[in-house]
Amino acid sequence: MSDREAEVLKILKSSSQISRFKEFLKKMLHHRKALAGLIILFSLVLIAVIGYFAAPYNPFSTNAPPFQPPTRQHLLGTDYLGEDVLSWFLIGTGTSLFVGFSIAIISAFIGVLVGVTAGYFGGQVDNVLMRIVDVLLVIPGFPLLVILSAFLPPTLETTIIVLSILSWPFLSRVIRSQTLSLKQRQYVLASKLSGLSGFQIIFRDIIPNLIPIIFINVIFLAVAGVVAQAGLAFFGLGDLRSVNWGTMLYWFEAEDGIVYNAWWWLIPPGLGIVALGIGANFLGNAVYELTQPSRGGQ
Amino acid sequence: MPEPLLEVKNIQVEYRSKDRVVKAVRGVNLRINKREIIGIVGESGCGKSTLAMTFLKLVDIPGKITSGEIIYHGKTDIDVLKLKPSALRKYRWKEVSMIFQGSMNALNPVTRIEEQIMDTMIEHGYEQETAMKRVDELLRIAGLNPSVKRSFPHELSGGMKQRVNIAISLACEPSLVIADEATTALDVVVQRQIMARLLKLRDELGISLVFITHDISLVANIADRVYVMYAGKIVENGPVKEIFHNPKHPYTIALLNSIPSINRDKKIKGIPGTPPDLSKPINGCPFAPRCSKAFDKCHEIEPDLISIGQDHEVSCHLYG
Amino acid sequence: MVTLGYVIRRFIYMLITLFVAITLNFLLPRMVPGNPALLILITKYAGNFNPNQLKLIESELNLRGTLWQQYIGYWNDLLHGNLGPSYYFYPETVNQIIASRLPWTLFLLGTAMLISVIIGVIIGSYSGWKRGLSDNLLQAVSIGLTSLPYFWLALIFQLVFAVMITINGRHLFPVAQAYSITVTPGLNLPFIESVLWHSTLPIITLVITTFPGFALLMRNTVVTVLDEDYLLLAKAKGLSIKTIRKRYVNKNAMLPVTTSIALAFASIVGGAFLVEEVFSYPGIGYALYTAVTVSDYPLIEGIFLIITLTVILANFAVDLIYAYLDPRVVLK
Repeated sequence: MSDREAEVLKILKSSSQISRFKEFLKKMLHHRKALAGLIILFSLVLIAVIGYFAAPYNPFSTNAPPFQPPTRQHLLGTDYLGEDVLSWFLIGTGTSLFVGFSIAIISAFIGVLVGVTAGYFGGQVDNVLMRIVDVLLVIPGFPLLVILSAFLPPTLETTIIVLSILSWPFLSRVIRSQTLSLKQRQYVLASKLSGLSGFQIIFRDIIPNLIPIIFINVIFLAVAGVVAQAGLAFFGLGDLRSVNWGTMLYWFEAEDGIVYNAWWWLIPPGLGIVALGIGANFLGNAVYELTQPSRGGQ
Repeated sequence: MPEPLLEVKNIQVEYRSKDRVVKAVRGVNLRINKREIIGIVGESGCGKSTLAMTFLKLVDIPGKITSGEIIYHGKTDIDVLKLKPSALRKYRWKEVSMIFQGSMNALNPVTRIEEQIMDTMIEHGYEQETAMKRVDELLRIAGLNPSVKRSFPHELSGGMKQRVNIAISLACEPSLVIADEATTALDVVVQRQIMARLLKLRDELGISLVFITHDISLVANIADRVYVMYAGKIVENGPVKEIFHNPKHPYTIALLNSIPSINRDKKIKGIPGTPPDLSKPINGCPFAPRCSKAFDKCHEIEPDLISIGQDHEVSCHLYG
Repeated sequence: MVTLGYVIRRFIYMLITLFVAITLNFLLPRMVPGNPALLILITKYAGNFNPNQLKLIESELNLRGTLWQQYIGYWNDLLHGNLGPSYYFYPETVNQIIASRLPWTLFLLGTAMLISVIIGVIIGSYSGWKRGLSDNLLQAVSIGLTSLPYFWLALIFQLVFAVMITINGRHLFPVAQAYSITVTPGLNLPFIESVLWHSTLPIITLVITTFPGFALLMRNTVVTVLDEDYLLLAKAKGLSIKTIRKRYVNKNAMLPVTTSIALAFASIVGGAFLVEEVFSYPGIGYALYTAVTVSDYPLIEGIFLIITLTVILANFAVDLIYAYLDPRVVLK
């Protein structure tokens, strides 16, 4: 094959991948749930961006009276120190989302690595890796998180690392079983016969087909990460000086927001988490429906 | 004089989904007499399984019986399709039972065999003790050691599971048993054993049998009458000897030609083309596109079923 | 099917997991810089102590000797059921604290889990069977409910039902604790009433976030089962709808639900902790919270150990139950 031909083939292949992706995007936009999910998630990101650039007040400035219900100057009222809740919420959204996605990406990286290796190479490698995964999965997550966080330095980085370590096992199981079934497909056998090495096959044939599943899991991992970090912060663990949904709720609890009926302080961070969960659910389910072959219905 | 047991009159069944309607059965008339063995032969997708399910009014969403009548002549005459739910439950299995295709999945995986044979008996009013005794008897009739009754389905082989299905089908002493591709998933040796056993059942118990299969050679030895089905309709029917020695419809002839023969000289001929799409309206005879003898009229008008001899009917323009 | 081989296999597996958890438990606090014994003396006795006292407390806390010696000592203590003294509640031992708190947590968890499974299975079975409106409703509602964080829901309930809403000046539910100060613990009606009244909000919080998962799973399984051939045969056999739903649909659909109970335990344990904290409910979750706040390492470890033990045992039990229910379970 001449250089020219090889080049043309490469362009054709990548453009077919691009067009497949574009088709996929079109399908997504027409799917009601996917659209709803995307809108919700996008709104949250928008809030985070606004928070970063245009929060009305510095979250730590205490010029206003504490425990104020919503007013025109403070659309979401103030907290126990007179800090503006809206600013806390705007900035907190960004932090929470950042934490969630960091966890998701790190876990995904490890999880995919372990899952594909175990699934593709099988045998002893598989056994050993999966035993480790099994043990990690049985140990109850939240208590373990609590202890780890209690003993390790209380920073956001620690939280992210700890949560990542606890999240990847589940993903690796999923990836492994997908790899196992993909391994049997025709084109993988064909690649094997044409003499490609294991790693080449993994990168060319297997991983591209794992992308939808990885994407879906990253979304759900991110949500789980956000919720877990919020839970930890609520429990008083992690970096309590950070501004995020979890710490908002921590301070609400610790400073008796209940007593002051401070619903304006309680609702936004929780709603943020719920919105994230719903949006992720819609999006994840939609992608799942669109990419996984449907079981033959009658 | 043969007495009718089940009369099927102009049955039509449709499967409706979001974007299309498939006419699976397009007007079938059938008669099963007492102590008779009937064969219904046709390719996959011709509607024979759906047809069989109508006898028990088992057609459910997305399928629907859109017209027709099924009369069962038991102690009284029963209009099957008009039965109320509780009467329908009494009719099912007690009068007519069925051996399903795919013995693999027809049995409840979490229940023991004996319970699955007994539950229908108890539902139909048998005493607990009687039912328990019958379980052993039924398993023996089906050719199984009664000890399997304590097993779970996954512990049995395919052939054993199918025999269990046979035992279950006889549980309430029905007058008619439908065997829908009952031996397709099994190897030929087991197939013959099961066919032989079913034949004995007609002789010993006086039940009528309906054999549904795509393999016309299977019914040659065992059926009294044969119905040939294509694209949701009966294209030919008659006594088995007539069908085999004097086939009239080109499809029937083609089916017979596709049976491998020990006679090395016989050339096996497949049938070119594919069955029509039943979600689209059919113009003329549905077999016309694949028929070597088709002429103009065949593509325009669908032929009716006409009688051409001793109880022998065919729907083909070649004959009328 | 439960065979001896299966039980032994699961048992060995359980032991290995326990071993890892315990070792982890041992190592963690020793990785943190500082001398906990010193900490106790400083907090309790404001610096007035002599070296002998230090040595004494260090021995009690198993901090003397090499790491290996400590490890052996740790196992020795464990196998004698000794979880060590608590720093914060000193001289109360960890055993005592856990013993007094654990029952409350088990009460919350057990009740919430039971109710969630029952409600979930009933709703799921109904939705899967009937489809249509109830089904769509279930799916929509589940997504919302499962996204609710435990602690937030708990706070909302607390705010609304224990603080905001008053009928004739009385709150609907108590804001905290397991029972009022006015009743005496024991098998008397006022006490039982008080306990139930105080546990309502915590349990409802846990149930609301847990049952949708079971309902959805049951619903999906029922839908799959309805498509199976044996369902068709069951109908053909003329069996009543009641029999079909009970012995053919639900019996098969319950299997995946049973396995998921084990998974649900892991998550509901975390939920229970958060809920206990919000309602100051005296279970081990709240104790853990306190322990974390004051860095009471032995207590933290002890609680973690007990939880892990409980969850692992619960999983083991569920494994056995599942093997009992599903005749197809074959040893790996």
